Amino acid sequence: MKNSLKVERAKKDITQAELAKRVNVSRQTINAIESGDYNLSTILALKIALVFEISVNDLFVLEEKDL
Amino acid sequence: MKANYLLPQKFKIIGIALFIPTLILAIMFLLYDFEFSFLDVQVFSIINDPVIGDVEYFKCIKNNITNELLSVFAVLSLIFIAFSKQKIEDEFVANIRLQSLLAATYINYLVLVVCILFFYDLSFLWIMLFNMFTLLIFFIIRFNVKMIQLKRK
Repeated sequence: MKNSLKVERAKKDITQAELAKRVNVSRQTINAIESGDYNLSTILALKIALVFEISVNDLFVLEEKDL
Repeated sequence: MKANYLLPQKFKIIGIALFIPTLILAIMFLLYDFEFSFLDVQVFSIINDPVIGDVEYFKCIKNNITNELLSVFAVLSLIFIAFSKQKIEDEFVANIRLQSLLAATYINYLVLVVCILFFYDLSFLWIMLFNMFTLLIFFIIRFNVKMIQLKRK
């Protein structure tokens, strides 16, 4: 699963720590999601999408290997 | 995500504070047969199978409970350290906990199987004694190493 977290963060000028605080997780969790080391839950994906005011589908995209 | 069945964060400190004296007394007990004489008490036993004599069931017996108390404190302190919440206990930490528990279980039973095959008689009893605690110890090591690695990233 690919994600555009880093891009969206840059657009809104939000650090990993700020995003983590807003969705109530640790900075390490955001870092792991961003680097693709951790597949997050649906509820966390929805919460992050809400912060960026975009759809989850715009933030997370399935890759060929996931299918 | 709500983390269920975990103890409050302060239990980790309580666990460490309890584990250190327990470990020191346990080493003294194992190496020098150290016992507190005031812990010579009457205890209720479901089964008592002494080296010399017959098996007794559901009887009150006289016993020094130093080693029993040390075992209980060791289990409690390790559980406190292992299963107390992190400062931020989120779904990623829960995932690392689960992976660590799985890894610790595999390692623990792999070591036990090797010991079953290569340790005999009294030495195997020592292995069983340590095996009561190794699952928790392996879990604590694996989980904390992973958490430290994460914090460094």
